[in-house]
Amino acid sequence: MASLPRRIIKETQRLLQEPVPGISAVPDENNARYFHVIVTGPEGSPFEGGLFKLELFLPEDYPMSAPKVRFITKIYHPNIDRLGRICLDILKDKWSPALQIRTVLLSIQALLSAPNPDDPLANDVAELWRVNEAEAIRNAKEWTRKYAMED
Amino acid sequence: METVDERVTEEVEALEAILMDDVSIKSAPNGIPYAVEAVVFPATADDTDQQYVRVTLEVKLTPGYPDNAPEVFLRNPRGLDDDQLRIIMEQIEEKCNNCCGDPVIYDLIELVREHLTSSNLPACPCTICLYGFSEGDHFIKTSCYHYYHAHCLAQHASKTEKFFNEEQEKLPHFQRSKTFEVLCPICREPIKCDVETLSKASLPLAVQNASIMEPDEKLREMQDYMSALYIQQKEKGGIIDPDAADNKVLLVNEPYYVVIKSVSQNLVGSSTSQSNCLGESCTNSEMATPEEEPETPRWRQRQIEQQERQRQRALQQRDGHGHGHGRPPQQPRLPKPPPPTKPEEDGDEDGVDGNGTQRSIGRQRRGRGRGARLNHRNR
Repeated sequence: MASLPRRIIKETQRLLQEPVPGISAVPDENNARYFHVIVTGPEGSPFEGGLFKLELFLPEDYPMSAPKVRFITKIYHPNIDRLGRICLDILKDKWSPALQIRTVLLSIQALLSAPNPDDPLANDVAELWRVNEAEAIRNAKEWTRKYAMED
Repeated sequence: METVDERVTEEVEALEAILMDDVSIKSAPNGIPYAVEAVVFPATADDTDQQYVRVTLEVKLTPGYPDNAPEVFLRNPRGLDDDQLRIIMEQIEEKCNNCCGDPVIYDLIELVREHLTSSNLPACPCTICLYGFSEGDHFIKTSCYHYYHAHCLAQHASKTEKFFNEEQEKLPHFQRSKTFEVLCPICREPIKCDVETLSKASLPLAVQNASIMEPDEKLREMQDYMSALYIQQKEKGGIIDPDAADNKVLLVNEPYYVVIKSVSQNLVGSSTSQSNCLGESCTNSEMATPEEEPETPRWRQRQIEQQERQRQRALQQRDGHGHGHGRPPQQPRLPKPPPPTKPEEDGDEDGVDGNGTQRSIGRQRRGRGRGARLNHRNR
């Protein structure tokens, strides 16, 4: 704990004290760089009503490097692959140390509202999203209901 | 035909005469001014390097002005926090209400300037370390009016330069044209800074004095909720299982080189003990988008090197301490049929689509998920 950078402590405190609506991020009890995350599906999207679990890890040189994030809950989305990996520029070459855990998670939530099948990570999903959007949205809703809703 | 209040015309003329380029008058096509805009800086005898704050004052001339109060907005504030802006705004409103009937714009500009002069130290925190600026800190104002501790900006600059150089090295010589620029972390404008000087600065004072955090009851409750939800979704089959996924063989598309990657099941055990790499380095490679890889000529070389390393690692399985690259052990293997999982995904994720061509499905994951979680705990 002692070597944990102040910035991570500060972000953690703020995440707990002023949580972003629809997003919770909680550090693991044994590793303060590993966060358990829940992002709620945005209203009006096929993911509405879903609670999606993600894992987020802050690498050694964070915030100079982007956090590593992936979905743990299954999700039907053209920019998220089968293993939950996310295609998002700010997690790669467009990372900036001015971004934070909260802004990253907000961007991921925004990605749920705006799937982009032209820049796919999950090719089968993206293909269906392009040729038959209605069916793709039905699938996404079905997956949300089946995997991401609380009983 | 609309006529302009004489008092307005006179005021606008006076403002232009006094402030010249520092003020801009917006007029409708018929020549009637409808707004006045001024970027206000602290009074520092024109020493712009010493101006750490600024704000744009916009005054909209309502139809009844100056008998009615104008509408005033503060835009593009730099180095000012919400409290300061609120106080300035309150004083502006007070001034407007007290001066109905008289031209007020010059007074407003002066009011804002006085305020900025008295608080000419960025009140916003440094967005890199999230701590404020204290007396004695060495900090930088960029040309785009964003503020960073010298120490923090130096780290950003050297990290991005390193990344830039690595990327350049991957390119063939004729494509290496760009020169490195430090970009502002907030607005991505190129900024000029001398990294060597910056890096001599010491850690920001607020960071040195910050307290550490103790977990409280609320945190524990949230942690419990997270685990409960995980278990619930797991029971419903809603959790991505990287282990099951690994039984599938994914082909990574390379124009000249097709790699079949999979993981030998008997290496799972050793990968869980690689505590050092699982958290970050693994994800490093794992998170790389598949589409990034094909454009790196070094890719194939790395692949071969890596397979060689993994082969060696496989020979000495008990040595679980993967260092550096952190990619979990992987071995090239023959394809085997995918296990029955989600029908929606199958057939496609085998890496061969309808056209029989291999697609890129970055396939580097192993030992994450539960395994990774355990590892984090074990640290």
